[in-house]
Amino acid sequence: MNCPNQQTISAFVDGELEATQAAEVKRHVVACASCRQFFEEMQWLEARGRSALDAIHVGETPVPNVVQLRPASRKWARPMSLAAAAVALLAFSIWTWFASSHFSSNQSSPSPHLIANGSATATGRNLQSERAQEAAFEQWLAPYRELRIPLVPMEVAANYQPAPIFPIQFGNH
Amino acid sequence: MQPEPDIGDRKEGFDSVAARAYPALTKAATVLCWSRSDVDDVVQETMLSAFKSYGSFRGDSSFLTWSYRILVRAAQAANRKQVKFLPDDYAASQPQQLPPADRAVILDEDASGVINAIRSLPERQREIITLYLLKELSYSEISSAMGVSVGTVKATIFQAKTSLRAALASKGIIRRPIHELP
Repeated sequence: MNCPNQQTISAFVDGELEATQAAEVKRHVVACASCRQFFEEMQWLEARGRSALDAIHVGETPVPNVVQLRPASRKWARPMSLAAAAVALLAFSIWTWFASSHFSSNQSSPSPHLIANGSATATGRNLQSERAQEAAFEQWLAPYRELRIPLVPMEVAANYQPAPIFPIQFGNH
Repeated sequence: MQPEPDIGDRKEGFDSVAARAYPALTKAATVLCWSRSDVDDVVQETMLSAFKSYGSFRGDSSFLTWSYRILVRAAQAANRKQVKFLPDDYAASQPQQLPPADRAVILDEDASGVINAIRSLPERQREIITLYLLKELSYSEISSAMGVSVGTVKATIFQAKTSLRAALASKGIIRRPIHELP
């Protein structure tokens, strides 16, 4: 009896033989005990392999938020960065208040958000400063990436309102 | 400069297919990654790369099949980093083997034995056999997914199955013929 090579039987198990050859191999496997044993072992192996992969525990499937995944759009916000931004804003506000109260001026203080953004002008985009900010942000972010602290979803970050520590008065007195 | 395609529609289409493929990609990464701690990062990198090149995804194969190759490259890169931290006497003769998987992620003892046997295969066999077991694909679909010829897929799957059979037998996991079962 001419047994087909084992690779052919393996391909037969996978349904990869063309019809004529498949029929021939099938007839042989029915008649030959050792080839039938190999055929059944290949089937068993495939079944065990598939069920083993099924048994891997994945846990809850997070919905991948692609915006979080995109490093180009710097729209991430984390609780600590929001707190840090709030502290920086507060510090600048206090400085502005002292500056305006000690140095009388006819001009009103620049808006805190412009100071915090580091942009000297209220109109237009300062690309160089944006790139510098992005680089500084990346450098700051690196250790958090290592620790893999979960990101805050954009919707939460967009609606975040830091609680004021004490009321601040702007402008001239 | 050409305007970017509408990111909203792309994102919505991508999110749904990515969510469906996520469990299978995570399982594949669990098999292919040296360390469990790399699995999440490798899957995230895969999703990011897949999103960036989503415009080139024609839909002629499933998203999982298309992104599997990205996952394989990401896992290889992560594993290369791990090799630096190996003790000197660790399987120097077979550097492509992976150590046993973290037991916490494979709750079934028998499955754990099978997964570790897959992890002990050479890298290429491991990659192809994992895709073969993950999804019922034809050899030509696997060859498109992995960028190798059908003949290579056929030969590699056969070698992997043979090695797997031997590896399982050495752990005492063998097929018991029906007439021997209690």
